[in-house]
Amino acid sequence: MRTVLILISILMFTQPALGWEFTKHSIPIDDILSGGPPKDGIPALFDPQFISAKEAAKMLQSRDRVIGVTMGGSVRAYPIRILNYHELVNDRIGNTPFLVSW
Amino acid sequence: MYARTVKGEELTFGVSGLLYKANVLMYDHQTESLWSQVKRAAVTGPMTRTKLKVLPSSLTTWDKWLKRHPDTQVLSFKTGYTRDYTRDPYASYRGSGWGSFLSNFIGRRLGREEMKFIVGVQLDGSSRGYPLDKLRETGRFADRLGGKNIQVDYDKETDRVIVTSSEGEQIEHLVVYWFVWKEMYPDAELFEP
Repeated sequence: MRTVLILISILMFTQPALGWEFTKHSIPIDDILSGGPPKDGIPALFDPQFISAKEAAKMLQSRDRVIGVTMGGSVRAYPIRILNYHELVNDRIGNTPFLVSW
Repeated sequence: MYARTVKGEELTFGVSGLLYKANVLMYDHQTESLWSQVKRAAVTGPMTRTKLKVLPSSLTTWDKWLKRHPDTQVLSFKTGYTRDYTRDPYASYRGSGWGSFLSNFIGRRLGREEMKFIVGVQLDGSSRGYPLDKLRETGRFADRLGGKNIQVDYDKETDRVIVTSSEGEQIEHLVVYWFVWKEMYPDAELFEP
């Protein structure tokens, strides 16, 4: 048992992923690798603001990719140009909180 | 796109900077659990094994989306961050750079087929990838997976993929690179139409 605990502590200390709570996990912790940027190095968006299609047309090219969402009468587009820099948008429509991810 | 309400609680998500099976892990601020987008579940922390619900969305082009939804709202370029959104941050990776970055990560050279987009479906322990380029040509694949007859449909007008069972039930799917799906589900086969 002690050997196992020592082994675990060695594994924890050699992980690039320090500072995370790994007591519970469903995948081998060894398989979690550092991707380069630190935590929040790519900043997710919260409380996103929206503009009209007419305004957006000045910024976007016709072949630009967007993620499109329709929900309860609301229609929103999330340009990949923006998502490339933020990866995640924490948004909501009415009572439905959702996450747009890229 | 995922629901942010998990076990009755509203979560907010950030980018952990960590990778698992060639895919970025997200984390939630409320419990600091790490979540895999491909597994659609938390993989570490208090939320471990909790599923994420996938919500329908389309990956399409601005002209197609605008034509269909002239009244659409668009995420503002004023995000609160100073970024040059006219510039593609991955431009320098796209050639050999991006390929070699991924090859390093996987530990071998990636073939052309592996870099193709597929529709990944997992049902009852069985997993398969449906090639997006061929689906775009034919519009529909019929298959049997995990003991169910399923249909993979592609709508040219909206660029939307819908997977349904023969009982009419909608089935979750993800559009990802074939090698990413294969890393996560090594037993997955590529569907041959």
